[in-house]
Amino acid sequence: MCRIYRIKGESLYPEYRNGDYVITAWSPFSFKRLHPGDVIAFTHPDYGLLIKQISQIDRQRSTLEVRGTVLESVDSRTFGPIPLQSVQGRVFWHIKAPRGKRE
Amino acid sequence: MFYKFFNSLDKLVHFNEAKAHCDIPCGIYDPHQAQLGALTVIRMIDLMKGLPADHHDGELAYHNSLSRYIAVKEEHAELVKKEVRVIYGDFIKEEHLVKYPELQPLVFKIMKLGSKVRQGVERQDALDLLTAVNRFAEIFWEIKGIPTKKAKAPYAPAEEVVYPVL
Repeated sequence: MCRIYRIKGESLYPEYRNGDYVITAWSPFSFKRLHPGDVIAFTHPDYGLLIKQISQIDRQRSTLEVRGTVLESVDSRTFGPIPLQSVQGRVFWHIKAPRGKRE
Repeated sequence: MFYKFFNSLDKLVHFNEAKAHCDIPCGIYDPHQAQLGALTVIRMIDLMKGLPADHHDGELAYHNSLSRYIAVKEEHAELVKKEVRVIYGDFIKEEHLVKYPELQPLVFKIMKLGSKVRQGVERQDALDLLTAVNRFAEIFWEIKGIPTKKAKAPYAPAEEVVYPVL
């Protein structure tokens, strides 16, 4: 399943910025193809729909550690690993906003 | 070209937002309030000690002034603790503690000094509090990659404060 999201926030700065668009894809078999470094959209009970980069996948491949690229990012350092079930998709297309025109 | 297309489509169908979430409010932290709080504590101690010893002619006025100075000292000592606690709790990450091993004992020291200046009227304790808060500010701005300078505050008690060079 494909989804389009507009990015809000700067925790993946400078690669992903506020106002950029991403298209994600997900299928029941996608998890096997996830790797550290992939950017994923996922849901968190407190923070809602988030986009972060995978930093680590556990051996059982049941949970993921996610990170932002800036120190202020709220990620697994704050809320711990996330379950596989929360993943909404992996980014496969990133549409960057033109410089200076991001909202 | 693609961006224009998706942006136009977004205006029509409103895509969901995926939050690249930083803390709330995103990155808005500044130790300046804590520094102002520490300066205020010093100022209040100075004012308390400056009240005339022979106050029999205006006893009511004396008590009124003293009470107000004490109340402001209490409030600002707590403000120092609160501001430092928020930055420490929300902004500081584990890697900062690794890079600055003095940070954790420094915050502990600020909490203790914040209580000490509420309990007493020793100017040196208040100066120690300001020194500790200034060091905290220095580390904070260094983490943010912003250089700092030291300058005397342009108002009483005119003690040295760490400012970011923006």
